[in-house]
Amino acid sequence: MSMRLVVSERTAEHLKSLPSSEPDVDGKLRMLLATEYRRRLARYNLTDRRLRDKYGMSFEEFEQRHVVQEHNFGWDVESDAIEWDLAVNGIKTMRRRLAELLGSVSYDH
Amino acid sequence: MTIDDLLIELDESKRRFWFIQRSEIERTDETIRLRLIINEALFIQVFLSEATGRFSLALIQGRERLYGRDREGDMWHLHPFSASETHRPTPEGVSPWPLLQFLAEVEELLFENELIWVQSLSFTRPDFRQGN
Repeated sequence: MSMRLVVSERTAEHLKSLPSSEPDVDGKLRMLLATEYRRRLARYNLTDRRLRDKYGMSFEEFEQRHVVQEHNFGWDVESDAIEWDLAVNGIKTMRRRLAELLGSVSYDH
Repeated sequence: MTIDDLLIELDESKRRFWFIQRSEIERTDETIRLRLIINEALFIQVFLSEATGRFSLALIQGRERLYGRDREGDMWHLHPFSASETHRPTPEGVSPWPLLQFLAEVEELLFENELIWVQSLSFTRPDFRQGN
């Protein structure tokens, strides 16, 4: 299945000039999307690692042990919980999107 | 409340609340984080996770939370203005339009505490002492 997308002439020129092994616009756009998903995946992995180190546990343990409540709902811990919640779900999302886009490949870093 | 419900509320909020300059959205399959920018120093952060049930609304200045409402598990609580490191359980929860409710509360806080006027007037207020 395909659909028509309209891009400006300037954008089309940039896409053409992009050094890529992909010959057509569809392939080049897929490559750019994959780069963006990998960038976000790396950022989410980094957040997950930083917070695992900080709290000495996984996000699942952090939730089961009600760490936010233990710390009296302080902003430091609540904002970490938000970052971590987003990162853990972001890792799943980016892996799924990459697999959809490029085929089933493992993206564990 | 789902992510799609929140996005509908966001559209309505941008129409209704004059102090939202722009919004930034970060979305994953089951979470969303919105940042509604008021000015360089002040913004509202909204986070919803359909996976964990966490729902957080906060007025933030720099890195400090000035005011907030949160759902952790199934329980809502409030971080009052001027004492935002404390929390008060709010068993009544929030309205069916939590973002609109929160923004209305923020609008009052902005006026009552001159959070916007102090900053904008510092650039425009004439200095009467020098006869300007």
